Amino acid sequence: MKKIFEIQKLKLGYRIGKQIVKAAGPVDFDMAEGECLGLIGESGAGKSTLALEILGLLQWKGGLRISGDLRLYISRNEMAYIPQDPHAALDPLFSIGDQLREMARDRRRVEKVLEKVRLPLDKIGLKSYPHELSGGMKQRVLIAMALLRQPKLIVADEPTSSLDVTLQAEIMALFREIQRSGIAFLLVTHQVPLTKNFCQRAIFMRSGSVVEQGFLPEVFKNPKEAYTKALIESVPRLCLYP
Amino acid sequence: MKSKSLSFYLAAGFVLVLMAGALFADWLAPYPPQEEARNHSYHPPTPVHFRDKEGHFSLKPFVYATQPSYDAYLRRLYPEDVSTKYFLRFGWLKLVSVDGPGRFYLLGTDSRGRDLLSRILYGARLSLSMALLGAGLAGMMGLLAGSVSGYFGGKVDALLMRLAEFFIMIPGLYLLLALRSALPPELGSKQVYGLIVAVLGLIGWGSVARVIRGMVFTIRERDFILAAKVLGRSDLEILIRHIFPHTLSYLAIVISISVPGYILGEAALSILGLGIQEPDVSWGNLLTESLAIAHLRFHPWITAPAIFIMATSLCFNRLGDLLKDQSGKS
Repeated sequence: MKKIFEIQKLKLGYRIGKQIVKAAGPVDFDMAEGECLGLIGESGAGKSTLALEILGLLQWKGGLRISGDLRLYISRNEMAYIPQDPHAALDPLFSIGDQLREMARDRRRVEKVLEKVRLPLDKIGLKSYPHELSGGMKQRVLIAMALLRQPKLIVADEPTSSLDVTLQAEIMALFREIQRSGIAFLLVTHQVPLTKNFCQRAIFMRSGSVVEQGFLPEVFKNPKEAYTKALIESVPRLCLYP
Repeated sequence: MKSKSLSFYLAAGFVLVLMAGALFADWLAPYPPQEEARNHSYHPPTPVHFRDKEGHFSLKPFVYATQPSYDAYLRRLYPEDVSTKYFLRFGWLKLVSVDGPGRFYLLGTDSRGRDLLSRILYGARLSLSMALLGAGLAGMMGLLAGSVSGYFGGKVDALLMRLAEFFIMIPGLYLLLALRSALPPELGSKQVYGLIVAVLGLIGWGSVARVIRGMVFTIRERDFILAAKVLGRSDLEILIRHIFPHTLSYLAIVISISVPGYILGEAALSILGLGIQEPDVSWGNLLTESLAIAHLRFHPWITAPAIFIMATSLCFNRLGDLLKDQSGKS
């Protein structure tokens, strides 16, 4: 399958004063078109730093590439991003319609995507503002905004961590639908159960380094590393897709 | 809550009426600001009558003509000649007028017999526009510098903030005095107007920029900015579309609260003879006559411009406070 990107011995960090503090790496992995990859690890493992570098935003966020290589086989215009907190990810001063129109001028396309994310126009007036929507609705608007970019890769950084369990299940079901249409997903998360039923492959990170990676469900059934095993066993099991 | 909204409407209403008064001074003012009636020097406010000396009531208000006379201490008195009534006429070309020799001085006259109300209305044009322009200029410069500084950070931030601190350190009034003394004394009122606006704006932007910078630091880290970046939006687009709108409520508060300072600055300069000079009229140079204690004792109406300055300052401060409360709630 055609690759989307390839990472080789990538080492990333942040400049603090005159010092460079390593945040991730060295990391080696790649991602194929239509694939769903879970980047799993506890807070501070370097997952988001890696995601930012893939999106081309690490430097803007004050980070830097220390060494290694990131080869992109798609344009960054073909990437979309779904942020962690839906409450902070929509500009509170602009209506939903304005923010969607920023992605696509064509109203029909907007309507079609809103229907796809199960947020029809009669339910959410385009003139409504973010504070008038629930967390789940906001997340659906963000997914719609991502889809309007017609991406080949969606990078979702902890997309459900600020939602309750029921909403998490709904959003993950929606992700699965989108992924089935051929869009690749890089799911950055610390919630192991989310990846279990969604991703085809998982990469476990700890203190910036890849501890283990493998295909699902094997990597979940027979983790080789003690850390991976502990991570899998440390969370309550959720059956999101019975 | 009710009293708060009442005081907001009162303050906003007063400011709006004053602005409308300045804008439509040609129609509202009974006399041109430079029109002198030397025989009516320090004329007290003209009483408006509805009932004549015989006790006949009239729906149309009227005034009596006055003739100057002097008392035993050579103080000027203006007894009313009640033999003839002069009715006030309300019209489209002039709001209020009266046939001569009747005169209508609602707030009295100054030493040269010029109508104070007319001069206050015309003076409001200069004083208010100068204060609003000065505050607006400081606000816009502060917004630009603060946004750029907070958004880009690093060396740009350090440079802009040191510059802001330099301007914050300069005492504004002394800078104006120094500049005014350095420039030729025959500088016209228009040049002085421009100079005061520019200097007030230049020394006011620093403190605005520092606060805006702090706000932008926080806004910049919000996810919607990151999302805009992923979309490939340029820094300029992000600044204009997502950063500036979030700082506007603070800017409105700053402008409201700083307007009184600029009005008082202009007044202080004009009183010292360094601001707007005769024959142009501003609230500051109207107050020049009030400096003599004798006038305060014998012609207290001459302090009317001070009451306007005070009321306007209070109203702008109140507006700023209420806007601040409101933005804190939302």
